[in-house]
Amino acid sequence: MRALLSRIASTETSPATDVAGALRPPSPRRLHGAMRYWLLIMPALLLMLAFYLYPIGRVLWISVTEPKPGLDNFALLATSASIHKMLVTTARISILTTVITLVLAYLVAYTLVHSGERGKRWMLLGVIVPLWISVLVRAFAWFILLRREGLINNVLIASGIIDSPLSLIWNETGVVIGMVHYMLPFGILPIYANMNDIDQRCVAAARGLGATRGAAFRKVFLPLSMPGVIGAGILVFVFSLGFFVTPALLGGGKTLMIAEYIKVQILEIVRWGVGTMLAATLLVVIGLLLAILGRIIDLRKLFGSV
Amino acid sequence: MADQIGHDLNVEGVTKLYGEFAALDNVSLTVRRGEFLTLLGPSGSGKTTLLMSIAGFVQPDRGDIQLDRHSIVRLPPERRNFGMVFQGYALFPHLTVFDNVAFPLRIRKCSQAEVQAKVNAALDLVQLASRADRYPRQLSGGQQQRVALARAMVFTPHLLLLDEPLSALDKNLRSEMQDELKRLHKRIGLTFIYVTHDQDEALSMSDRIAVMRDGRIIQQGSPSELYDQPATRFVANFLGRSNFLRGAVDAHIPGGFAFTHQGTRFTQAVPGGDCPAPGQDVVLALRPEKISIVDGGAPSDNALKGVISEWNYLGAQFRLVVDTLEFGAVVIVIPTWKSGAPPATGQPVSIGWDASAATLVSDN
Repeated sequence: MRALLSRIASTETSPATDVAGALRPPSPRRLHGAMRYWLLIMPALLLMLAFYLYPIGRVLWISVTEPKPGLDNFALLATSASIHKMLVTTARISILTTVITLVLAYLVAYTLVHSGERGKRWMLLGVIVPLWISVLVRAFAWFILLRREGLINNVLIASGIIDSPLSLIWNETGVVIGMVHYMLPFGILPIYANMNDIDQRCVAAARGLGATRGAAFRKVFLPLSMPGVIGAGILVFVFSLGFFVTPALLGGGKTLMIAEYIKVQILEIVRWGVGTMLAATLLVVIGLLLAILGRIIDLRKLFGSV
Repeated sequence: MADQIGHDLNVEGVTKLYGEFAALDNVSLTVRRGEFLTLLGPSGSGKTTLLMSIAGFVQPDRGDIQLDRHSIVRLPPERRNFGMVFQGYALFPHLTVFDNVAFPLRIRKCSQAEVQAKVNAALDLVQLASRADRYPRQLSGGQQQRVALARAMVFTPHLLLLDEPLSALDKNLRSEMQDELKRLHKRIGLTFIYVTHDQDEALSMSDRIAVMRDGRIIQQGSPSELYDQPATRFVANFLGRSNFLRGAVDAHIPGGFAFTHQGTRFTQAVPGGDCPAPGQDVVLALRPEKISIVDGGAPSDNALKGVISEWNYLGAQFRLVVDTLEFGAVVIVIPTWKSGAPPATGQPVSIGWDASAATLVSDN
């Protein structure tokens, strides 16, 4: 009886008093609320304007003014065979990297959410530590592993699985291996964060309602984890499109992606017009992709999958 | 087995260990066809572990669980064909109400027409037919609760298991849903196993209650059996409130025994006739509402003098705390309409109770 009464009493909240309002001294010279927040972001905003937006604006400007005003540079997108080839290579490598990264990242994230606290801590450390190592160092590490007399080829030959060394480097295979390695944390972390928010009882409920382990995964867990996969996919794909160091080092100059192509245009051939045109194109393509995918993700949120 | 609605469930000597800790300690329980059985206990008493063992999510270390005399203890949850309503409902957020309820039917590869018909019937039953196209997060707590219920019943499961389904609802909605659950149970005839820590819920809904504590079932019976004849101090205090009177048995008298405490003699009826031996220490549970204030009226079998030390007005009742020499503070509940003048702190009163009012309980 007493417990019942105290339960009733506890559901009635005491009338809320506006403590914050009472404590705030009325100041005639107080700045307008929103204005204060603008002041707080002003330094960062000015930095962005000066060192980010202005150069981007210049890049866009050069792309339509060099060597002469007009859209001649952009016309190259339709006519130049070498640019075509490079764009196709960039798209192919980026898509391949994204797909492989997402599959591996999904497996790691799935294992992570289903591990005990201790195991989870060590595994997360393993995911994050590579982020602290320079991308340059990691590219060279792959070089040691993948070259003709590298560890992998040596082991495979010694164990008799292959007769002649595989070419794992200076080609697309090497680029994709290096890029997937670099992108993995960016794939794992968003997927893991999303999976962490999935109510495990939903999976149990599915099994209680007659679904086997596999069916519960396919019909409940997988769809609920899709927002994380899409988020990770965008992140990885956008990074991949503009990736420079790894393709430049592991591609051996033969596998030309857009970032390296731009570098060559500007620093070696000194064709600023073409270089900036490609940079602008990259920017627009990424913007469009984000806009399209952003809509899809918002739709999914609307449907309550988060 | 598929054609009948209700099924019997037997739990035999089930033990579940987590390291040294026994979440379930040799639990046996029979649930009869069509019964509404409640597992009642405080948190950590093992009631949810028992429900999860029945559902198949927890694998017991020892013991057997049988449905209609067939062991199911090794079957995975999806092959037991039990409906389950989880705490927090566990609705699928990415599916509409209709698709949530259709889930168990589609898993069972029912035809499109059958799915349509059964889901609509289930949604009608819980009065949510108009919400079929909504997503769970667009519904109120009570509506989500009813979707979870429809989803758990739509495939005519062998049992319906409910894990504190009403704990997330506010007080008014909760009592409304209690009535609705009770009606559904009567109408459908499914066997319900219901877990709660809420004694009022257990008393008002169940055909039978099993009270659990420390991984064991300490008493089972109908709500009135448990309330009127609690076996232990714990049950007497968990289901409602009780005063506890201690004393030593003095002598057997016709239909019961007399006992003394601090020199005062009291009588206690024992309906079963199984009296404790003279000299033995006893504990009696005495419900606050079974004590009355005696002011020169008809004398009760037992009487005490005391002083009112505290009182609360509860609308329908007064709750008094009377300090007595013999038993310390004694809590009394009397109907407001019967009490005449409101009580006053410090007022001396005589209280009394019948020999049959209290119950002998074991002291744990």
